[in-house]
Amino acid sequence: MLNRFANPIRFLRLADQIQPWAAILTLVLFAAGLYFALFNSPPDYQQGETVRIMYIHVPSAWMALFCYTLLAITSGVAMIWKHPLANLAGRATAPIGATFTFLALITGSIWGKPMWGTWWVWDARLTSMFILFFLYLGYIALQDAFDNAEGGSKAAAILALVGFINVPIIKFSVDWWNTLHQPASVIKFSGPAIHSTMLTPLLLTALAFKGYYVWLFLINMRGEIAEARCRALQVSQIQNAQVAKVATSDARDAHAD
Amino acid sequence: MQIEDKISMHAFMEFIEMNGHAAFIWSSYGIVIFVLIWLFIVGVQFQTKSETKLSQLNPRPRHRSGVRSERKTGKQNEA
Amino acid sequence: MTTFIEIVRRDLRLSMRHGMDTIMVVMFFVLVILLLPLGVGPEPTVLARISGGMIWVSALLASMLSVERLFQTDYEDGSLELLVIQPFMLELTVTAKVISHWLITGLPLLIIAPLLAGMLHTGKDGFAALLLTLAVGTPLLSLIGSIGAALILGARQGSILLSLLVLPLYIPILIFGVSAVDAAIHGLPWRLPVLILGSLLIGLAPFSVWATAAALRETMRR
Repeated sequence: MLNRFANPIRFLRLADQIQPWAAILTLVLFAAGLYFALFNSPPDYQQGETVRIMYIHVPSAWMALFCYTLLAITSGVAMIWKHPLANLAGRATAPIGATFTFLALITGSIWGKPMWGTWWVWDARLTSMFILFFLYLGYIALQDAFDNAEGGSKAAAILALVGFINVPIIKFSVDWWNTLHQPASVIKFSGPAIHSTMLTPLLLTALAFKGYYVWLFLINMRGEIAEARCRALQVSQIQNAQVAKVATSDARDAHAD
Repeated sequence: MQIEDKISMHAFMEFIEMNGHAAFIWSSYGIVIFVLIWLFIVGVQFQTKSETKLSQLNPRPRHRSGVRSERKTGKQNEA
Repeated sequence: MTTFIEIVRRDLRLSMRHGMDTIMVVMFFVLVILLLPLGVGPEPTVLARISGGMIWVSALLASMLSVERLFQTDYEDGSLELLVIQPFMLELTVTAKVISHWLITGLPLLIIAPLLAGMLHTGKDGFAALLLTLAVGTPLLSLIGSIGAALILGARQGSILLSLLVLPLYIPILIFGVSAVDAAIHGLPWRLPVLILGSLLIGLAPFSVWATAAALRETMRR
């Protein structure tokens, strides 16, 4: 049982090397991104100053899709190769992805108020994000719904794969639905031509969010690995106590638990 | 001197007001930064909590700073 | 093949003997539709405009509620374990269970739907579209629902969890089903959404069966 968790040590060693770089890169990129987004970029000719919301809204939406893709990849790895770290990686990724989906929804709604005059419009992109948010919530809820944490991870992995196959279908259907019910005077998000002065802050914040993901992912992974080891230790302690009831030292271990 | 101050003050106020959309822009940036910091704190708390739990479960003495002690226990486990 | 038919027959027999399954599903379906005029008023034009969407939403909810029991009783009395470990391919067993679920719950919805459509003044143009989309769509609901039903076995608060897992995945079926009915009501061509539903059924069936079987195997390993 413990042997299975022997390879996290290599992962933790790697994480120790990456983490400071991720931290520095995130902070620098985010500072630069904020500077360009708020100070050093022109207002849009159509949307005025509100275009600045785009520099955090669109990267959040990208991160939402990026994290769901990662979730599907880790789930596939967990199912095919039964790699114990893959399940933990899914657990470490899901809350970050759900948070970015939530942020994309909130900033989209705040952007919608000056653009459309209401806080919420059943725009195809916002609606798809809304559905994606529920896919994340389902994944997280299923993970924690079982007494056996590993069983929950496996069930959630299957759900993530099913959801990932369905995401393009859902996206297509919501676009279809939206064209049927399109109100005439809706200004589209992100017109065809994004000026290069807008591209700089957009890419900077997008990269900063990626760095933030790596940084926080490593921290979450440390927590998850420690949790998994705790579970393995508890199981082995119980087994030891059952096998050698006579041994006093094991009896003390079981008592301490 | 005074005029320059006034001009820079005026520019600053203009920047804050964001052409009348101040509330939307600043609140969305505020929410994003707040939520991201909050999620980060939750992650760090989770890490410290589970690592202390692990060190309590493990009877062997271990140091707080991660890898070296992890490596040691790993070798013991493999042995 | 005989095993396959035997599983379908066993489920049908069980549901006939002590199951209120069919009656409960139909009753739920009719009750939701009954609530609709009480909620939005009895004006025929209003009812006709939203009837396609309402019938589809209530069919979706009825199917979701009934699919929870697809594996639940077998899981509780232990016969699910036998179904998983028997030499017969689990994927085929799942297919048989999904077909029997559709026969028990989907088919009755299909039969009662025209009556409700008439009560909601859908109009005869919408009839054919409604029946055809339900005929293609309800098996899809059973298929996707079976994944959720297999995943929640042994979970805490399974039924609420099931709705959270399954309803987002039902959305495309709802959209294409309703858009076909609405197009038919307005005299527009409605072949395309029905074709899309059909291709979804063909495309998603093997995948859903595989996912359900994988989830059942994991359940037995827990």
